Amino acid sequence: MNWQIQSGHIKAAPFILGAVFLAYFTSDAVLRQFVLYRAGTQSISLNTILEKLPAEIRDEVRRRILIAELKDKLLAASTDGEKISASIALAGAMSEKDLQEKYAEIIDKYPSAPESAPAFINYLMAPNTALRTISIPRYHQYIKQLHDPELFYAIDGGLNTLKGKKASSKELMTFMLPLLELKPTYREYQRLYVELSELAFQEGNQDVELKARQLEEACGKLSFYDKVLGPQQAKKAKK
Amino acid sequence: MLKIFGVFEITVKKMKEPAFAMLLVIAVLIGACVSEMEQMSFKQDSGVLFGLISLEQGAPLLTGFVVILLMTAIVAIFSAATDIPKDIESRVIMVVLTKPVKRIEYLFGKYLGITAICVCFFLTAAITTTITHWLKTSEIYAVQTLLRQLLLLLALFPLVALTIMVSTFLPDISAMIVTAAYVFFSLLISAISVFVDMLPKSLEIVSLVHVIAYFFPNFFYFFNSCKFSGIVLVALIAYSFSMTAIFLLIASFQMNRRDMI
Repeated sequence: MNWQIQSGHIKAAPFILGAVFLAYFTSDAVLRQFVLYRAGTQSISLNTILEKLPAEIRDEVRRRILIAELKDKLLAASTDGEKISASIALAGAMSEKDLQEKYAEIIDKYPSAPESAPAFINYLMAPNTALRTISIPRYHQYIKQLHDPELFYAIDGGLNTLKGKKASSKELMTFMLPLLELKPTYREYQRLYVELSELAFQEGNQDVELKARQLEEACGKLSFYDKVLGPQQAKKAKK
Repeated sequence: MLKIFGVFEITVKKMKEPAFAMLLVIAVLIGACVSEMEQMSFKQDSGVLFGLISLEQGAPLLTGFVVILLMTAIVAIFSAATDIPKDIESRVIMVVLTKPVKRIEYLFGKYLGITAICVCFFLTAAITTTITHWLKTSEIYAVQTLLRQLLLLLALFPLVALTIMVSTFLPDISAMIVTAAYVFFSLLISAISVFVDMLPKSLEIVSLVHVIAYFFPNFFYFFNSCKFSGIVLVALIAYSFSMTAIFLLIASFQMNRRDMI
C-alpha cells in the first residue's frame, strides 16, 4: 500500500476515508445506544416530552406515534394470532373505514382463528350493504372451534351486538342455543344462562328454559375465570 | 512530520505575543470566577435535555468547567476561523508553501497549533479553578471528577477542525458566523435525533432525521455524565477523532483545490 503523499494527493485516501467513516458511524451508534439506555433507565418517557407539545398538535402526534408503534408490532408479529390482533389494533387506530375493511379481510383470511372473534362479532347479522354479513348459523360454526376464554367472549360479544341491532328475542335465543350443548367451566357463564332461560320463558320454550336453569345452577358452584387464571399465572411465573 | 511540527511551531509562537498573555489572564479570571459553580443538574421534566445529558450517575460535570469550555470554544472559533484566511490574505501562506511543505502538512500543522493554544487556554482556566476551589474550601476535586472535566477537551478537537474546514472555504468573519450557526444547528439536530430515537421505527421521519443527523456532530455526547469506561470511553474518543479527521480531510481537499492568490 502506498501511503506516500504525491502532489498533495493521498493515494491511500479511500482507505483512510473508509476507516474514518467506519469509526464515525460505529462510535455514533454506540454513543446513541448509550444515551438511549441511560434515558431508559431514568424513566424518561415519550409522554413527558410529548406533554411539552402544544395541545393542538399533541393528540395528532400521539395518534401517529401509536400507529407507528402498532406497525412495529405488526412487523414483529410471528404467529397468526399476533398478526390478527396487531392488524386489528392498527386498523382501529387509523380509521373506522380501515377497521371495517380489516375485519372483512380477517374473516376471509383467518376464518377459524380465535383472534378473529372481533371481526365475526362486528359483522354478525350486519346489513347487506356491509362488506360482510355473518349469519347466526355461520357464527355458531365459528364458535364451535373456540375454547375458553375466547368462547365466552365470542358468545357474550355476539349477544351484545345482536342486542345493539335490536334482534328479536327469538333470534337472541337461537343465537344462545349452543350454550346448552356446553359444559360450563366458569362462573361467568351463569349470566348467559340466566339470559337464555328468560328468553326461553318469553318464547314459551320450556325445554330450553329448564335446561338453561339447570346449567345456571351448575355455574353457581364454579369459580370465576380470574380466580382460576390467577394461580395458573403465578405457577408459570414461578417456573 | 517535521514539516508539520514547523508549521505548528509558527502557529504557537503567537503565545509569546502580548495578546495571548492577555488571553491567559482572561482564562485565569474566568477560572477563578467559576470555581464555586456547582455540578450541572437538570430536572427530570427537562425532557430531551435530561435524556441527552443524564446527569444522575458517575463523575459529575461541573458547571464551571462547562463555562470554561464555552469560553475556549469562542477562542477556538475565533483563532481557527482567522488564522488561515489571514495567512492567505497576507501571503504568508505563499512563503510557507514555497518551502518543501505540502498544503496538507501546513493544514495539519495549523490544526495542531490552534488546538494547542485552545488546550492551553482551557488548562490554564481549569488549573485556576481547581486551585481557587482548594483555596476557598480546602477540598481538592476527586481525580475521577477532574478526569471527567478533562474529557470535555474531546469536544474541542472536532470544533477546531470544523472551524478550520469552514475557513478554507470562506473569509474569516463569514467562517466564524457559519461555524457558530453550524454548531447551533448541530445541537438542535442532535436533540431532535435523540428524541426521534425514542419514537417507533415505523415513523417515516425517523430515518430522515437520522440521515440528516449524520451531517451534524452530536456535541451532547461529550456532556453525558457517567462512569466513562470501556466501550463508551473508546467510542467517545473514536467519535471525537473520527469527526476531527472528517473535517480535516474535507479541509485538505479544499486546500489542495483552492487558489492561494
